[in-house]
Amino acid sequence: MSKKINIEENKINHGFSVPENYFNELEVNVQSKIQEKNKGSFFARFKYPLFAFSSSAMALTIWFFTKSTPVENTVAPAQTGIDYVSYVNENIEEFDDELIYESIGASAELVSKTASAKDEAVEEYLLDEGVDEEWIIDEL
Amino acid sequence: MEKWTDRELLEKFRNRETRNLGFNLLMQEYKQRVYWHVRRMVIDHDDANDITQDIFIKIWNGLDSFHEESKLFTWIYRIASNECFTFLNKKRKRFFISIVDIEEQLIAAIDNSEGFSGDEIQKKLQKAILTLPEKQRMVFNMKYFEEMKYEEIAEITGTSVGALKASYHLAVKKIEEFLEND
Repeated sequence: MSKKINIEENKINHGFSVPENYFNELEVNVQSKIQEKNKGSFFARFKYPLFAFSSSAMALTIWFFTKSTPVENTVAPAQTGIDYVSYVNENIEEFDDELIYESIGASAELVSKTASAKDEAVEEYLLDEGVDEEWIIDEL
Repeated sequence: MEKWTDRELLEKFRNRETRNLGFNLLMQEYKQRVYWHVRRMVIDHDDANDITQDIFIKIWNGLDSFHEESKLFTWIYRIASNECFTFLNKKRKRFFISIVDIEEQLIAAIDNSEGFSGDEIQKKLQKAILTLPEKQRMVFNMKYFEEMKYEEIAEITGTSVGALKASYHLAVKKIEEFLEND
């Protein structure tokens, strides 16, 4: 027959034990863990502002290098009130032939061909007028 | 050691200059109670140590938002109890083991644990306690070892005093039967 046990009248201790100095170390361990976490959260606090700042800096850099250079100090002819085409036509003698050919996009070959055709016409005219041929060759 | 009221501890903690001091005082006041509360539930010292540290970190983080709707003692015990249940649930899920098996593991831990220095009757008592369901085990521990009032346990567990009394007496009966038949 088993004997009657009354655990409330005969209190029994729990029987567990802890390493020596455990409770003193516990306090230190918890404090250091808290400090570690706080350190982490200090940097985490600046995570979003830092991200925003670097994104803005990157966007600004991209914009700076890809923006089209604005044309400064350039005034459209219409704004000056001067009609350049009329001016050139009226003062054509003042401009060098080659410059005119260049400005209208004519090639160097065309320029030289035009120049030699002009010389031949002048030579023919002078011969017709009875100018000495040797003099013409020397001069042209 | 000077005895501090909850209000004094909270005031110290909430003041930036005395925050660390306040927390140290709180730890001195509660560290042993919290540790033993956890240890009796998880048995193993290393597990109890990890959980206790986590509990105090949670207390540090949450103390600013503690609005004194309950006593500081109740609030701390509630955190500690939840951490114990969470730990046991995680352990069960991690190793795909049932409630019965986890109790068997804990019983084995008592036999093998270097941190158990009790005699044969104490060992038997712990094994008997481990046959109880987790919540009943916690109620029994709080009443039997920590000698808390039913009203205090009721505040922590959110259970009525009547239900706690019934649960405790049933637990005592089961344990005595276990010890008599073992």
